[in-house]
This record gives sequence, C-alpha cells and structure tokens, in this order.
Amino acid sequence: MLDRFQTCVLIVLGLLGIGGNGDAAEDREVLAILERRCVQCHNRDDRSGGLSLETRDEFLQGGDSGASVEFENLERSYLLELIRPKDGKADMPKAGAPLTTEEFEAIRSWIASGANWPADRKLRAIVDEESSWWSFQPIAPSQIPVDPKAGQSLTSHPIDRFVRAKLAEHGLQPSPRAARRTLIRRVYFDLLGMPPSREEATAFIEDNAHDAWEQLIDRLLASPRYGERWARHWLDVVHFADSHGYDKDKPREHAWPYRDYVIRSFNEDKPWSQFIREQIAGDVFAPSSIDGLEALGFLSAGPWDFIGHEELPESKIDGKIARHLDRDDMVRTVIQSFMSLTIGCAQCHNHKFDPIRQEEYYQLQAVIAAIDRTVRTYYRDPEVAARHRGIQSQIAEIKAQLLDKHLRDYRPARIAELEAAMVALETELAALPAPDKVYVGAVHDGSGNFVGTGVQGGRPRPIFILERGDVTRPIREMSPGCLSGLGAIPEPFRLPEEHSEGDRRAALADWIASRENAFTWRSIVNRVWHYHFGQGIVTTPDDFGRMGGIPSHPELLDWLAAEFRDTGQSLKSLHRLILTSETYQQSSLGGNGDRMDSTAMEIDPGNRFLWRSNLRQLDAESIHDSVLFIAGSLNLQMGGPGYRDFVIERPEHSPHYRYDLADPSDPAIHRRSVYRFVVRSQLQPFMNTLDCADPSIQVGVRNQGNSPLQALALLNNAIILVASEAMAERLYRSGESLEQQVALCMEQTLGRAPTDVEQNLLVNLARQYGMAEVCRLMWNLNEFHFID
Amino acid sequence: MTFRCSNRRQFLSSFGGGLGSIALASMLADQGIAHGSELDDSSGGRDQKSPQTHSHGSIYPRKAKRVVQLFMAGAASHIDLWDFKPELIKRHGEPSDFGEPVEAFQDGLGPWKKPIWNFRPCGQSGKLLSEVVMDLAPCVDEMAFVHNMVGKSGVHSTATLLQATGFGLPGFPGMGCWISYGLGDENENLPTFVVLPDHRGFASNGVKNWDAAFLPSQHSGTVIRLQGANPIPDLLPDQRVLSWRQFDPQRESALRESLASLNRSHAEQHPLDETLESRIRNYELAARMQLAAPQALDFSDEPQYMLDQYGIAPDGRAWPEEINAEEEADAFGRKCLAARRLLERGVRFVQIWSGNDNGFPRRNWDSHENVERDHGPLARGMARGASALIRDLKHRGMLEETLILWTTEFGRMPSTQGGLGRDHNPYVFTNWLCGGGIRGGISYGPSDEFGYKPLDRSNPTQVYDIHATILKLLGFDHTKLTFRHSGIDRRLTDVHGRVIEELIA
Repeated sequence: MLDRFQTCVLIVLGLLGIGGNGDAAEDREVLAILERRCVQCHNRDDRSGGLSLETRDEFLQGGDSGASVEFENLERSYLLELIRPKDGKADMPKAGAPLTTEEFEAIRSWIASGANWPADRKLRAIVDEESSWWSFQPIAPSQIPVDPKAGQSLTSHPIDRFVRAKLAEHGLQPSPRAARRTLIRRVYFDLLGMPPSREEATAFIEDNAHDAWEQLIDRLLASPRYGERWARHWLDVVHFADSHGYDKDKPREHAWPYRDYVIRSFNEDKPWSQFIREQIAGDVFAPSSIDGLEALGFLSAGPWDFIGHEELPESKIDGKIARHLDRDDMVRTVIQSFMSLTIGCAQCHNHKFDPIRQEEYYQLQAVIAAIDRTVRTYYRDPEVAARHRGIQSQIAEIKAQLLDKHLRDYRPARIAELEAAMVALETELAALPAPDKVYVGAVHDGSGNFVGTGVQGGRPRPIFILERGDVTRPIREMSPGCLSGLGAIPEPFRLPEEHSEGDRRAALADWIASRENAFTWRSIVNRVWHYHFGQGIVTTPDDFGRMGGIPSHPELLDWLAAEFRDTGQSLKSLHRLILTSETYQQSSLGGNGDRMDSTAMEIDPGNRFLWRSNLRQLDAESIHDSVLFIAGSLNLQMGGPGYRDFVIERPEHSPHYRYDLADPSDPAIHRRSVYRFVVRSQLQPFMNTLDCADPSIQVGVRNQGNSPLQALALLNNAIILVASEAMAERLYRSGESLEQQVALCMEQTLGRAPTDVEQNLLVNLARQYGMAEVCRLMWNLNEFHFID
Repeated sequence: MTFRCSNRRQFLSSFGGGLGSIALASMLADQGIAHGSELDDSSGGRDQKSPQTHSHGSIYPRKAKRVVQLFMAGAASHIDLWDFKPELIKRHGEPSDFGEPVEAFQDGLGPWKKPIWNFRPCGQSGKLLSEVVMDLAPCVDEMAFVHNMVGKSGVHSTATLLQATGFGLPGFPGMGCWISYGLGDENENLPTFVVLPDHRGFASNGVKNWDAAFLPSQHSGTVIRLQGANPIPDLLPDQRVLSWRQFDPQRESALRESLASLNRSHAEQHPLDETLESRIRNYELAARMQLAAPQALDFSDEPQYMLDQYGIAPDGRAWPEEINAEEEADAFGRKCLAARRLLERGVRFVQIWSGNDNGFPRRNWDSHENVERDHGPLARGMARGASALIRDLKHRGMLEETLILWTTEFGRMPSTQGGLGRDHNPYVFTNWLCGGGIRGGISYGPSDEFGYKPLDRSNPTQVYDIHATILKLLGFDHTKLTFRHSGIDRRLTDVHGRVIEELIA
C-alpha cells in the first residue's frame, strides 16, 4: 500500500509532465534565490540533510527522507514550512536573515504553478558579495536619537538615548539606578575583577560629590589591577597558555612576557591600532623595542604540536600536516581575535556562509609562511638593551674599518688600536647579563627536524592552495593577501615583488588596523560591551559572519565603533563612556513595579534591550582572586614567570602536572590568577570546573555552567579552605566579639551587614564549628557569586 | 529516480541541523534538562526557535542507553591481537614490500614480521583471536570487529584526539561529552561522563581527550581515581588543609543548611532570576554525590568470585618492577568493575584507559621496541577485564543497553622495527564493538593480506562512521546533534560520518 508520502510523490511526478510555460522571469528569479540562499549547502558535494538543489530532479527528490513539496496540498509542503518567515525568523536558510516575504511568496507561487525549471539549468551557489548582512556594511554615521523625554533631559548620555529609543520601540522602560552599594561592587568586579574593600565601599557610599561616580571610575581605571583584569579577557580571546598542549605537553618557560605585555598595554591604555600592529608585526613597526618583540607572543599563543615539529621533518606528510595546522591556528587567531570572523572552514572549501574564498584563506597563510613558534633572546631591561645595541653597532663599525684596505696597508698602528678596541668591546659584551627570552611567532633558526626558515634567511615557505585542505594535494602557489569579499573592509593590500616576510605581516596588520575596516572597530567595542553587560550588542563576539548574531542596537554599535576609532582608540575612554551611562547603572531587580517587571520579562526575557541590569555570575578568576583578597592572603606581586600550583613529575619525557602535590598554603601561589602558569593538557581542576577559558580554543564568551561539581569545588577545594582558615585567623586577631567577627566577615565578602536572622544563624555556626566554617560558607553564597 | 519516502518528521530533519537541535531541545526539555537556551544562545534575536513548534522526541529508537569506551593509548597492534594475517607467517623475515612508497613514523620498515602469538578460532562464529586475548573467547559471538579503520595521522596526539573527539586538534568535546549533552543524566547524584585514566598517568593530550571544550563544563569527563580518599576532585574537603582533615558529616550538613537558608532569602529578593534556584539545588545534589560516589566505588560488597573474574588482586599487593600480566589485569579489572558499578547507577559514559603517556619504561601500547614484552601483559590484562565486564553485564541483563567500544590511536606495521618492535600504522587498524544493539559475531571491512591498508582502499571505515553508528544506537542522527560555536554548528562527526548498518543488530 502506498503511504501518504509516496502518493504525493506520484502526484508530483504527474504534475511534472504537464508543468511549465517556458523560462519566465518569475522562474529565473526563484532559481536565483535558491542559488543565493540554499545551494551553498544543498549541492551535490555537501548535500546537507541529503538534499541537493542543483537540478530539478534533485530538488523534487528531496533529502534523506522525502520529497520537498506536496503539490496537492501546497500549504503542507515541508520546504515551505521550513522557509516561511514568521516573526522575523525561519528554520531555513540557516545562515543570515530569513527570506523576505516577497521571496517566500515568489517561491510559493512558483511551486504552485508547477515549479518550472528549464531542463538544462543546473544551479550553482552564489556567494552574495553585495550581501545585505549587517556586518558587511560600512560603519554608518549614527544620529544620536532624540531623548524621548526631550525637554527635561536633553543632555542625557548618548548611550542612554540609543538604548531608550529601542526600549520605547518595544514598550519597555529602563529600571531605576541601583543602590550605591550594588554599583561599587559591580564596577569593581567589572574593572578590577575584585570587590572593593570595606573602607573603599564606605568612602564611595558616603561621598557627596556630584561626580563621585566619575571619580571612582577614574580611580579604578588608574589601578594596575585594571590591566590584570582586562588582560585576562584578551588572553581568553587569543587562547594563551604556558605549555604547548598535544603529546608530551612541554612547559613554555618564556611565554609569560607576552602576558605581561598585554597587562602593560591595557594599563597604559595603548591605542587599539597600535596594539593590533604590535601583535602582528611589532618587530617591523617598533624594531628593537621591548613591546614590539614581546607582542609577537600573540602569534605563538595557541597550542603547538611538539612531536609533529620536533620528531617529524617537514618532508613527511605528518610533518606537513603539523605545520599546516600550526599556520591554521595562527591565521584563525589573527582574524577571529581582531575581526570577529571565523575563517577556518575556508581551508577545505569556500566559506559556506560568508564571502571568504578558499584562495584567500591560503593567501593569509602565506602572510605568516616564514614564521614558527620560537624563542627569541633580548634584554628586558631597556638600559642593558641600549648598551647591548650600542656595543653591537660599535663592533659592526670597527669590523667595517678593519676591512679597509687603505688602513691595513698604510696605518698598522690604527689597526692595532681598532683591534684593541674590539677586544675591549667584546669583553664588555660578555660582561652583560645573560639575555632574557621570550616565546614568540617569528622566523625560527633551528636544526634537526624542526628547522624553520632561518636557514633560508627567513624566506617564506611556498604556500599552496590545498584541495579539500589535504597537504598531499597542492593545487597552485598562493601569494600573500587578505580578504576581499566582505564589503566593509579596505582594499586588499598589494606587496611589491621584492619584500621581506615582515612586510607581509606589516601589510596585514595595517589592513586590519585601518579605519576602513569596519569589522575591527565593531569587534572591539562589542567585546568591551560584552564584558560590561554580560552580553554583547552582538551576542557572538567571535563571529560577525552570517552564522553569528545580529546586533540588538545596530546604530549604537556603529556609533560606539566610530567614536572609539576616531577619538584616540582609548579603551579607558570607552569604559568611562559606558560606565557613566544610566543604562549601566540600572538595577538588576527591575523596580518599575511587579506588573511592569513581569510585562518586561514577557517581552524581553533575555534582556537584549537592557531594561535592567543582568545578574552576572563571577568568573573563575574573580572568585579565586576575591577569596584570597578578602581573606587578606592575596599576593599582589605583578609580572614575571607564572606561579605554578602544581608539581611537575617526570619532566624528561611527558611532564605530569600534579596539582594535588602543590602546597595550597604557599603564599607564592596566592597571586592573581592572571599570573597562573596555564597548562593545556592538564587544566587546573578548580578553575576549569568554574569555567575558566579553555586555552585550546579562542574564547570570546565563557560558558556559565551550573553543576553539582561546581558546588563541590567551592565547598572543598584547598584554595577555598586555605582562604577560610586565613580569614578566620584574621578575624580572630581583630580581637572583636564573635558577633562582630561575623558582621565583619559578611561586610568584607558581600559589602553589607548581616540581618539579625543571618547574624544569629552564623554566630551559631561559628560557635559550633569555628569561624573558618562561616568564612567557607560566605564564598559559597549566591550573593557572593553574582554581581547584581 | 529513487524515492525514499518516510515520515514527515524525518523529512523535516533532512533540511539541516537546526531541526535536529530543536528535536533535541524539546527532548531534553521533556527530561527537565534546560538546554534549550544553550542551543539557541549564540543566535541573537534572529534565531530563537521555539521548541513547541517542532516537538520531535528522539529521532531513532534508542537501543543503547550507556556506553563504555576502552581506549588503548600508544596504539595497539591489530595484527597481533585481532586481525589474523597468515600471509605474514608465510613471509616472515622476508624484506617487506608494500608495493608503494610508505612513510612510517620512525621509518620502521624492516622485514615482514609474523603475529607474535598464535591465533585460534573462537565461539560459534569461529573468529580467530590471538592467544593473548583468549580471555575474550567466551564473548566473541557478542563482538563485532571492524578491521578497516583508517586514521589521518601517525602522530600520537592528533591520532588520539581524532579517535576521542573526532577532530585531530585540541579544542573539541570528547565523545562522552556529546553523549552526556545529548542524553542528559540518568542519575543526578553521579557525573554523566566518567573517565578512569591509567593509574600511571594520562595519555597524550591529557584531559583534552575528554574535556567539554565549548560544551558546558558539566559535560566534561569527570576523572575518577580509584586509589585515594577523594576519587572525584573536591568530593570531600581537601585533606591538606588542617581544619578539615577530619571529615565531619554533621559539620558539613550544618554548613549546607545555613547556606541554603541564606541563599533562599537572597533568591526571594531576586524573583526575576531562576538560575539562583538551580544553584541552590546543586548543593543538594553535591551532598548526594558525596554519598553516592564512594558507594559506587566500594568493592567490599562484591563476592570474591567476582573480583577473581575481573582479575582483581588483594588490596595492597606488591608488584615486581617489570611489566607483568597480573598487575595489568588488576589495574584494568578494577576499572572495569568500577565501570560496571557506575553504569548500574546510571552513569551514561565510562571511558577506560589502558596505558599512560608514551614515556619509558613503556606502560602503554607504543611498542616500537618490543611488542611481545609490552603488548603481552597489557593485552592479557585488558582481555581479562573486558571479558569479565561483558559477561557480567550480560548476566545482569545490562549488555543489551550498554554499548562497548574498544579502540586505539592507530595500528602497528606488519613490518618490524628493529626486529622486536613495530612502528605506527595509521593506514589500518581494528576497532570492536559489543552490546547495545550491535550485531555480534561478525567481522566487518577486512584489511588487506598484510594488515597494511584496508582491502578495499576506497571504502575504509573512519572514526566518524563509528561515532555515527554509536549515536544512532543511542537514538541520535549524528548530523542533528549539534552545538553552535563561533558561527559553526559543531557535531561529533564534523562534516563526515556514515552509519554502518551492517554493525547494527
């Protein structure tokens, strides 16, 4: 017996026989829609869902499990069901905006009239270079909206005007300003990753100055803790760690100077374009500067396959794969970090969703084709570095003179003088302290299997476009280049025939840092917004492509991007701008009355339009650092090699990183967690359970897990217990009564005094089990774990 | 033109991953697992699909509910254990000739080398097994062998990652993470995905083989160490800290009660944020896990014959320095028995490792130097435990719903390296599966006469196919179990994978 579906297919076949009235414009239009929006995935090679739309037969045949259309009952056609736009959404196409109503209607009536399709017409995917996708548009000069309450608050903050215009559009109201106690805690965690001390909180709450808030923000931005906090965000994005990962996960002893460079750059408020240029080609833009070298740790931040490089030559297939993957990591990191685009897919085929061609991917690989992950020596002390440079140039000068034939033939005394000077200089050189080392992306001058390009004077390796990304199937050699089909980007750079490998990286850096590159500027302001609000204006800070999100406030995003780009590219100014808005200072509790609040919850449960502040969970680092800080145990030593909260066993082969063997009460490991020695293959259990960034992948948005294992970590991990003991000891030494101690403990942890009920409960707990138990409880409270 | 007509649901699913995610989301919602928001989280305001519109439930009938993965670190030799090659006996000692240029990791392309051990027919199927895994003979009719597995690399790290996560580079969730994400938990008091590493250390890549990567961290493999007081990290207060050295259940419960009380009044002041409630609940679950986990791992209620069957030696027995079969059986058997106890209690996925990093002296399968010396004890120990586990599960009626996968990084060369050893062979190796809807007693996809490459080189089996098949038996279409990360709907099987219907009962 035929089932319903077979029946409908037969009807389809029947219709086909009589279908069609020539190659009408309507038909061409529909086929063009399919080519633009569907065939990229639904073709003979990829067959997403088993469906190809290259020919009429394939279209009618449908996918893995059935036909596309029901001619006898059009409205029940699955294809139409999938693509029908409803409330601005549809199941298909998967990437980009849904079809417009007009497009949908065109397809519907085309099917209704028999889905006419010229017999020889084979559809080809068209990547829409003139796409209307938001991120492919140039940054638009945004008009700050007129305040809806114009007249009474014409001077209101630009951010608030943008946000309120959107709120009004959706029938929402902003929430009132949060209490000062809430605000100071919020802004401390945001800018410093730590809570205020009791004294700092009190001072702010009692500060009557009209600009107390602005002053507070300035103080925090000037704190060295700020750079530590914000460097951590950037280190997430670039997936920095202190070990290679993969097999025999060896420690990277010299990776940390890059981490310090990032902290320094944030604290110094380095202009963003300079930060970009230094990290891609600091050796070119700022030769012989410390920043210019250490910044190159960006290129080498990701994982590295030791075996694939050290035990396999570049001539073997597995050796080739390892080096291909290494470059892949570098180019993906560059583009994703700075431009919020994912390009990895293009190593096998043209990007499915974004106009990124496979050639362009390999052109980007060609930009970094000379470099590897390697160690460079230098002098971190600028004075020694200057002396070193001075001696070097004097030696070079003397060497040149010694070659002078005239001198050699006629002035032997002068020669003797020069030779003596040379000896003196060499002695001086030898007396300099041992040089420092830094792990960077640069030309590697090696031996054995891991040779690098040093032996060939840093000449870039030839890079071929690879069929399906297979190193054994090179197609043709690619010249260095960048992306070209994305709309809002500068013209691709061109290099003269004669150029160095550094010129390639410098050209790419300039291209990314150009003011014409809309991705760059939107990317960074959106990242900053994400960290302040817990949600970006675009919720996918790592992907502005068509599989990513769309901005909740596109005009605001563009306004911020332009403002940031055109007024000094100062992150600190951007923070100041955001934090002084009323939008930032709203309460998380709602507060417009239960009815308004519940209406708002219905209209916008995810708070995309910012009708309140988001309740945000503390990240692993903030928990770690705050607990130690509150307990009075935090060691604020800045910079230098990372602390190791593990013991390495069997370092000679595959190091075992044993966290269980470290002494949890050792003050040397009680530093801010940005200074933790991060191991890739053996993640720190406590931090990992609390969702710290996985250094094997670029992390623009951290996960926020919520599991019993997290509860166990917070109850029982040594760091919590050690801090509880230290805190109890500190309270005991205060000589106060138990009641006072409990109150003090809560004020320092939560910034408020306990209620009577809480006080009684906690004093009882302290009486029975000791004050340390009360401290342990504090670090586990929801009120501690959330910023409201 | 052929038509494969089916039901409406499958047709809908054929249009891509989005619907699969919806199906999954609604299925998870049915189970009270709030994944819906995660599935949709990265798509901004555009893509907020509503699970109500497409309520699908499971896509395939779920034959298996749990998985055990036995992972041989260092790369176990298929030709010495499972894949009998008489041609090698015939040509033993002759210069090897592969008929084409071959790249071997350490250039170990010496003469052909015959299997170290004799092979004997086993079970009704008459499958030939090496003496060294003869303990598995009683199970052979439950097992399905895949002899034409091919890898992508002969480098340990990438090969291990490929078999463990489906990707040759770090940063992707382990198979167990995906299954935890897909199936959710059956017992909230235990982790869904448990890893039992070799007690001597982690294999290549360490935790990256089972880490959740971009999936939420609760889907990470939880490492359980069978020795020591704290089998799960931080299950109990860290004993290095003096004040908590003595575990005091009363103190713990007083703490928990006070904590809950303060947290509740805080939650009452924040009615808009439900996450506060679930965090409160996690503390209750944590307390239950503190009881459930040690209980699951306490063998004292197991009869002696059971311990014997698993090859478990009396506690605290001293072992010789040289690698030996009894010690290996004890180590592997303990993990297998722990696995059975965890599965009984609702753990979804248990990953058992044999072999640590590729250091010296060898305590893994990377037998460049001497196959007999190292593979011998490791294989005997593994076969003992694996056999006991299969039979035990069967006896308890659990094998039908428990899928077991034996795998490794790649195979080893039919030529010898240095006379006694074998080099890496990523070009062919063996997997076997058992239970959980698998058709037993079959050998699928032969390798060539030397065990060098698949017999049919154009149709090899890859890890994606194994994963796709396992997911199907668990009720999932492998193309639909997705998670959007950085603009890509990620899958365990990447853009590959073919369900091997021949393996399904």
